[in-house]
Amino acid sequence: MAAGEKVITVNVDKCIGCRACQVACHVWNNTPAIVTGFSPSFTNPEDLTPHTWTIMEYKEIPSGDSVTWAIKKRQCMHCSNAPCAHACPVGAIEVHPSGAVVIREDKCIGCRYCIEACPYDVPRFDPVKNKVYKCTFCVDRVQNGLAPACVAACPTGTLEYGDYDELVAKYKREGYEVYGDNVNDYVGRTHYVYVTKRWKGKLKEYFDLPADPRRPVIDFNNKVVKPLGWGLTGLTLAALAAHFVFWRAKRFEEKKEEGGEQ
Amino acid sequence: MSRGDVEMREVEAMSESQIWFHKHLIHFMAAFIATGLPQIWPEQFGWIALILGYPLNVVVGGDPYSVGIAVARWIHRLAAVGLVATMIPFAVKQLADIGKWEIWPECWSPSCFARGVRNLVDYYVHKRHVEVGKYNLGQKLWTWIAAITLVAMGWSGMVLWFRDSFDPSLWALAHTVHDIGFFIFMIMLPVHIYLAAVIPEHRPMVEAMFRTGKLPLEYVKKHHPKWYRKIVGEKE
Repeated sequence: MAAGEKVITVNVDKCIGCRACQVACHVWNNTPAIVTGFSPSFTNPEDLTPHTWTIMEYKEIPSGDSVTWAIKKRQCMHCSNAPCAHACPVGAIEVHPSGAVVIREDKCIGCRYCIEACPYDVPRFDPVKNKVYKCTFCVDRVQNGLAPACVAACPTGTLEYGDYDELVAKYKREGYEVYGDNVNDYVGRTHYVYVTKRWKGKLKEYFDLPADPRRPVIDFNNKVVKPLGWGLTGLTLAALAAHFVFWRAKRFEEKKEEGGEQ
Repeated sequence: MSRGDVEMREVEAMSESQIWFHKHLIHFMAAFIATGLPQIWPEQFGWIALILGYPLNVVVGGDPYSVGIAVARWIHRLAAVGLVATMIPFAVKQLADIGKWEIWPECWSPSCFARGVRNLVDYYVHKRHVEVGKYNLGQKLWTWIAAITLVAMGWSGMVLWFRDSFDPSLWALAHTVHDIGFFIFMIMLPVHIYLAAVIPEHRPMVEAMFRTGKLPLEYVKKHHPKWYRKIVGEKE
């Protein structure tokens, strides 16, 4: 574990969907509340926006003869191998030692390459400011030794903040199913980790957590197109240089022969 | 045209419109590459972004690197507009002369293709004169690949520029197609420049492409015997 690597665990068994985290996020980050609306779901706002960096998603799941809610706090997952950071052409997305993946507003040019690369569909583009926004892991609080605002506001203990390996190990020891500590090569591990005992074996299915989060085309571009492209470009230049030497030698030979004939 | 007449003349290898378009193509390609490199490989070519962004950032505010990349993206787009604007009159002129194009395959059989490859090896490796027309197999393939790649770059560039008008699922695909196109040109352009301009024997072609449009008939006879016979009306 990198020194100071942190995690926020989401114990979905405890979540009551009060949205205190959602409100705290707005308050701490000074992002405006948006007009809410009616929808078939209790999720409100229905999706992340440039100013709403976390939402509670309500999903009906089977429970005996009836149904119940799986309530998921959704936000940036803060991947250790952040594909958004790799995709950013101006280095505006920084991965902090704490694990926080932060978009620097002053550097962002609004190209939206990060949106293309994110397998969790998180960053949101603000056309007015021409910038992309998402959860910051409250990096300003974390760097000052405080827990992120959502964690501080959670009344049920659903959200816990602490040292990565220590906290994840605790939940594993206690028999929880864990999502996020070792996801795949595309995202690495996430610094938001979901845990459950109640829905053990169904965590990914009920909470829409992909087993292999990946943008295949971007992955192909990074792993095949770019290395192969640069490799072939280099080989071509080397082959042309070799041909140049070979061609000159042939020309000298020809000139010598012509001279000999005369 | 009698044999005696043509012996005194030069052959028109490039039309005025081809010379004009080729010159502008060089400007636009230089702009594309210079502004594309810092976007695709910032670790190596980020300095281009810094050159473009500083001291402009003092005026517009913001990080010099980010400003540089933003400027690079706009130059990239303006170059694309310029290229399209240049390409339209050129394409109209070329389509009018489609009957004179020399880039069609001479035949389609595998043995014919193998003969074309053998000709390439004989010419570029063994330095022998071979039976080719105005363009050899390599030049024809190059032209077709370049044309198809340009179309792909145009499509993917449009998606990336006007992304709000396209489905987000297309963005990553367009990005990757654009990158593939970039590498195709990064491989093909040095080959083209080297074979056309660096090999001393091909200097008359450079002269024709950039200045006169004409080639000495002796050169054509030596390097493009089939084309020569076509010109002088000699039956093969």
